[in-house]
Amino acid sequence: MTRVVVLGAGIAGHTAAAFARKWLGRADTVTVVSPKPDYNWIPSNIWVGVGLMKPERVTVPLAPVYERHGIEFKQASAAEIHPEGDEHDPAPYVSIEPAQPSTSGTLEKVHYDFLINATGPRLRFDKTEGLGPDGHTLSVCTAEHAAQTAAALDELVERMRRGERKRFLVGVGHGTCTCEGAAFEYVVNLEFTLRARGVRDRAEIVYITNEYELGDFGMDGMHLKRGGYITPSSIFSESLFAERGIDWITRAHVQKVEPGRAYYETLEGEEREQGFDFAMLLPPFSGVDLKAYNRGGEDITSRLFQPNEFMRVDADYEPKPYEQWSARDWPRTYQSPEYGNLFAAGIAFAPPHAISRPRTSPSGAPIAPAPPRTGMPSAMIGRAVARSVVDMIHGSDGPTRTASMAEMGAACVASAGANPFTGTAVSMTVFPIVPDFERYPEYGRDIERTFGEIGLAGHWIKILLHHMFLYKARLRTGWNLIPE
Amino acid sequence: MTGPANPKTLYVTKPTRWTLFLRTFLPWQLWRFIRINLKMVGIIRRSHRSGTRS
Repeated sequence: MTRVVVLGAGIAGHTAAAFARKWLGRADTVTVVSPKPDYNWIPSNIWVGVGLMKPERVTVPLAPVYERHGIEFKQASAAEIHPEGDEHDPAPYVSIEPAQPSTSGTLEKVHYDFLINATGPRLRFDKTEGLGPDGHTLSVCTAEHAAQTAAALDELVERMRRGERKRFLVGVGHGTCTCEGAAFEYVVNLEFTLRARGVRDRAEIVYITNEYELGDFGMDGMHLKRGGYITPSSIFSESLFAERGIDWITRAHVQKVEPGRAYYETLEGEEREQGFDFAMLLPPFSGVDLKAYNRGGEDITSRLFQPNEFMRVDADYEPKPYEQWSARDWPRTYQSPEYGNLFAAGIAFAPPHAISRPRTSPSGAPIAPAPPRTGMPSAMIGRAVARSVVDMIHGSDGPTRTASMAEMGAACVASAGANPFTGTAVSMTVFPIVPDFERYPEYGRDIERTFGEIGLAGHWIKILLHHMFLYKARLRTGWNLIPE
Repeated sequence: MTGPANPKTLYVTKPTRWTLFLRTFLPWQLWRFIRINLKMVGIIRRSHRSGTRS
């Protein structure tokens, strides 16, 4: 009997657990450890955040799904990895803290033969004073946050209907944030919603970002072939904002937020401030603060994890300047170089470096997006890792599957307004996600496979994806036929 | 002479009325729906193919 333990039940963890269960024999066990009782289809949180959906429509309770498929579910937070066991117990295990209040503070051992770390990000609102739902800004990172944001928006819309003018600030709340795509999606949906509710003329909307140019999205931007030209994504993003009357601030590091006011530094070193009545600012991410110990109880966290708390895998972590970054730096198997039975999937793996060019302000503050690792790549990594683990259980010497972000593309649909007849969305594909200037010397990507287009068709695709991926998350009949 | 509310928009590409019309014109969007889906399926298939045995 082999024990596979998956930490996390987000896109990567849930995918890995589901495929591992499907491919393993009944004598083997698959256990998922997640602090939350529900799976959250995060891309649709945007619609919760503008009040179009309730949180229940973007979440799936995990316990019944896992019970139906023979996956053990422990609602708990992972605290420690003991890849060599301990002095009294040589079998590898993770220590978890159950979520039930009655058992809070006590650690439980969960033994494993293979461990997949898919813990996702820790939302680091604490990196910026006053940032986050406990401070003075809102978020759409979780379904609960998004519901709070929608409630705040409803209140403001009511006041606008009584004639008040309001200022909305949307974007990222720190110079090192990722997920600019989500902030972008939220701001255009917010604008659409304010129009639909008849108060757009009383709203000033400002977008603030750490991107050097709009449309960077943490991928160093992209080039698209349209209208006889190969055009940078910044042109399309600026056009979308200008058309909707959204103002924008780029190259900004938000340093502090007070009630109704955000203070930020620019890449040029200027200190500025921006007032607001409503602010939805996404936080920077780190890993989830897992500790690791060897058999003697010695702390080996720094061997398994990078300083940003993401897990080291088969990437090239040697620091090097932007000009020397290579597609080959990116991991392929996601296996820990320290322990062959330990893998990371999704946001939990440590990228070798950013994708966007790193930049710092004169004061030394880094102002550049971190690399995105969500959605399609996370699911594909989760599946590849599950296949490797299953093959290793069946006798392979090492990982059998790869899922390098420098070798895979991504299809992405960013909603720009939700309505079956008047809504639009930006449909994008990039190939590969991480530019490969050796294969594609001019732009780093295959121009024939990298495209973007805005229209109602994109909105229909977004709706289709919402239902398809929630169906897949429920592991209903034929779930495995839906591609990642 | 008065300028635009946001002078930045003077230097930005903006869609024509025809482009805006096509964005929600049902027959055209039905065709785009098929075309974009096919493009995306192509990317997904190619990405899955790249994850072959290491």
